[in-house]
Amino acid sequence: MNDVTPPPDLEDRIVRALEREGLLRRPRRAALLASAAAALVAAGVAVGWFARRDDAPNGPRYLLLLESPAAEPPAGEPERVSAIIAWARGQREAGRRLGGEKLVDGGWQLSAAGTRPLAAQPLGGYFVVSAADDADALRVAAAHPLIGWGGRILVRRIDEL
Amino acid sequence: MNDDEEDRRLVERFLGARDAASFRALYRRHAGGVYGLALRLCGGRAAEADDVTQEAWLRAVRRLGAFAWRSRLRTWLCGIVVNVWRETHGAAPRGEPAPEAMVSPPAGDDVARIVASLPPGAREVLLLHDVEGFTHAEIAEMLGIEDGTSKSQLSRARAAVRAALATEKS
Repeated sequence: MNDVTPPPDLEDRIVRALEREGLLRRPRRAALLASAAAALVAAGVAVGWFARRDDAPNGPRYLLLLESPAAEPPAGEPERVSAIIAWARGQREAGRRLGGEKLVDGGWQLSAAGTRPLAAQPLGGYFVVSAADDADALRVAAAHPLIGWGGRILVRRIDEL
Repeated sequence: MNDDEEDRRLVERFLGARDAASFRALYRRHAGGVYGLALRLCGGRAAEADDVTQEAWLRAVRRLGAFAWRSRLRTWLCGIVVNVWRETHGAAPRGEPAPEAMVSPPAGDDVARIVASLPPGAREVLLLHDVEGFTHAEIAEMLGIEDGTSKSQLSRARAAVRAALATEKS
């Protein structure tokens, strides 16, 4: 066999064509992220995420990148929203600083070779949270309900220098 | 897990999910083979090969649920590529490959240029057998012809290439 690597943009082009033809299901991830965004707003209002408390720990901050699961989790949207609010409230009550945003699907990948549009991909939002240390940050991430829904969270410590 | 098992796993996953992620996994497994054949059939013209590849994948996805695994998935996919190429290019007058659009093989490759100038049937069999490595039985199933027809087409194609090369050298 003599394989030839196709142009890098051909895969996205074919996926878009399949979507136009109705041959691929629309990503269900969007619905999940919409609920996460709703939870973010609701939780922000409910627990005052973005107001720093005087007794907030001065530990390092961590970036939590949220990758949604490919399939819709069994929990309904109201349950998911409640779960995220409970998680956020728990972080607040533990004295952590917490902020975050939902990301719109799509985007672009830039390199010296040019600009490539991103098709639907799992990165759907992020949190920035303060924690005592790496182990504490991992505990915070592990407690996020996204893990139980089959999603993934990438944890990176922010370099404060 | 052997190649066929992996193909079955990816196809079952796609048919269950029908989403972009499961399609991409299937596409990436066979992208090089499908595109390579399209590019050679199109005489190295990349834009035409892109179109053939896209249409082949669209057809494959439409029919994948009916694929009965009587052949390898790659054989089936390559058969679709050949059919798409026949419909979109096979009936058109053959010309020299456009050097400015060629990705592979490079301009100046005598054999590739001669192969690109062969009649469609001979070109298909020569590429599928001598370049892609399919057996005559697989080619016969792919093209809807008899094994013997595949063998005789190949023989004629090789003779044509040899004669063309000899003419160019003389």
